[in-house]
Amino acid sequence: MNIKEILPLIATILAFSPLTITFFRKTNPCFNYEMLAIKPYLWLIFIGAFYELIFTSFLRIPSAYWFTAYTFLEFLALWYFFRELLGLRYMYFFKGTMFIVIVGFLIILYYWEYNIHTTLEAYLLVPILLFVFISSFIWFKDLFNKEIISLWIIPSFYFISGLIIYFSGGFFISLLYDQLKIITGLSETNWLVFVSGLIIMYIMITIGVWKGTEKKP
Amino acid sequence: MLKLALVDDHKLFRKSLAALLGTLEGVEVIYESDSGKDFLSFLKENKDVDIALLDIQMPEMDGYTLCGKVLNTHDTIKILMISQLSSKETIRHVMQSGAHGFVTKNSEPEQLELAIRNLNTTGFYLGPELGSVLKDLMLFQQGGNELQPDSDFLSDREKEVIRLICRGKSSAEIAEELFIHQRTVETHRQRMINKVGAKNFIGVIVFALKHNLLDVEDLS
Amino acid sequence: MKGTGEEVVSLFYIGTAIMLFLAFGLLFIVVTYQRHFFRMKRKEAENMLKVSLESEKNERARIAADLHDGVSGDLSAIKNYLSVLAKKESENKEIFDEIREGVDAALQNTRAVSHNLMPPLLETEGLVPALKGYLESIGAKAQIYFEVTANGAVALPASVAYQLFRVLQELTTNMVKYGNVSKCDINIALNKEALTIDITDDGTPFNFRENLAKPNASGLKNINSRLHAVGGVIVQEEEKQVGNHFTITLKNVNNA
Repeated sequence: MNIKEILPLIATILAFSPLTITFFRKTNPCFNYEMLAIKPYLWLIFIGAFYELIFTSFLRIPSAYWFTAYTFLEFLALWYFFRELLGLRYMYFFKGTMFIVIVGFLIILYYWEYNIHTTLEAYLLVPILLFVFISSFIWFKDLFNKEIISLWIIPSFYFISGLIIYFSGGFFISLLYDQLKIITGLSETNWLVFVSGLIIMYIMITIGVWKGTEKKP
Repeated sequence: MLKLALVDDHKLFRKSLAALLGTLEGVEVIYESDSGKDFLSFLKENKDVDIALLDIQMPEMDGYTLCGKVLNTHDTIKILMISQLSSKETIRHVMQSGAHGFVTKNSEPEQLELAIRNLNTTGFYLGPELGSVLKDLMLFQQGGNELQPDSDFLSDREKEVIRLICRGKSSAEIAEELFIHQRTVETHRQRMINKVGAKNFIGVIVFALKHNLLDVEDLS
Repeated sequence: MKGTGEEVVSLFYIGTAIMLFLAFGLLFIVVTYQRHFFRMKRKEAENMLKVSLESEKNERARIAADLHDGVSGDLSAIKNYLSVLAKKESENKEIFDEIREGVDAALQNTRAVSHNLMPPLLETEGLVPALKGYLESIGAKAQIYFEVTANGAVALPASVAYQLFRVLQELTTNMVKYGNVSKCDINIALNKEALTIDITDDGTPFNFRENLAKPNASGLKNINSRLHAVGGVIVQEEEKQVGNHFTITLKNVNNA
């Protein structure tokens, strides 16, 4: 096995860890609402990793459909997370984004073709990426109004940092994947950038979950 | 007729004090004001004030300073300090200033009368405030360089004089009791003051108490 | 988007690099700025605390002085006039005595209030004498024996001494009210590094932290605020069966 295969494997394994931790440790009451908000996303990446492992790696079923669906589900989970985190003040923002993305998703389904599906997903990623960035920005802004002693103890800090890094790193690769696939050999290497981003994000989320929980008495 | 002067910046109190003192026999208030400076100018013209009652807390010139200045030019005047304060610090300061006695503004009129009479006869007044504080002061004062004097630092005669003075006897009465001249009594007093290095007789008493030459019980 | 292979590749790398740069940049700015911001806010809060405590102290001192100087003198004057009247008129002696008692009571109360607002010895002689004087009087009333010992001269800046006095006043008031205390030792030690105050009593065990969390803990919160303002901390030594032991420590008192 070379690095091209190890890294995705590591990413898949790491994807299991956040949710698993929540089974073995109980939530720190201070961060209750944050942990509840991230739960759907944790489930998603767990199931995603599960799917990858079983269906794709073992059974070698093409994952194209799954990727497209995953992109949308990912948006839903993150939409839920940020909505819980930011509160009711930004309802218009959330409703608007949801509307745009649903419309975008339907359009993509309409034009869906196997060859270009990654590029289509990348188009969908544009509003999603903006959504993540803007929500993170709002969260950071609101943070200053509160009396926070240290950012490093808040689980959400890790979640959001992880998400930002992952989405920034993964955007262009998704956009240019189909192009790069034509230019052979390079796509796989470049895909590793994406996988690395994924690994970093999973690590951050794991740390966040760890910070947000405490030992079961 | 005892001639009294009052200096206190609290006008209402001063007037009430003047009224009260006016009811005492053989006492006349010949001067009252709220300013130490005015009092000093008054003294330049009129020398026959017997007792001056000075308030401690005054804006222009406080009681201690005024006391010092008065005694500088008129050392026959007996000074009675009045104040609302009665802390150890205040009393210690009073004793250091050379005043001859101290009463609080809250004192009973009987005590005030006693103070004035005593000032007249014995030349000083040790009220209950001073008495109770003296004991603490003896323990409080850290006289590091002071050597314990010999028990015969003060002669027996001098000790007798102190005791009789503390009981409120005037020089004339002491002279009678000890079969000596009144002038001798005065000399004893002055000599004791010089020996001890005090400003007035109260200092002698404090000294005597501190070095166990006298007991607190000897003070009535 | 069709272009030559190299263009696409470079676009990819540059694009991703820019995105990642933006992302990390954002995080970096947030982290550093947040700490700075928080520190400023904290400093501001601390300053406000100091200012409000200082103004409280000055206000109280002023009221105490006004009360003491003005009212006491007036009451004494009334007493004197009463005496004058009593001498002239012996018929109403009882009434005069009653009035005099009333005035005496008013005088005492005024003095007590004034002393409570601003302990008289604090400014002139310092913390230890003021403490001794205060505790002697409340100890007599509450039948508690307070012993204050200090190792050497304790000279503190006036504001520090004032806040410490209030803190100790609060602690001892609690002892009097709830503590079932018969003896309390307060030892004040000042050396180069720090000022340490040890407070030991023999009364009902009292958990500072627990009581701080209760709703009516304004007195205890006050203790913390005051100590915080002068740079001190209070620590409760381990609980025993009987009695409490607190230690208040102030660092760098001499540089205050």
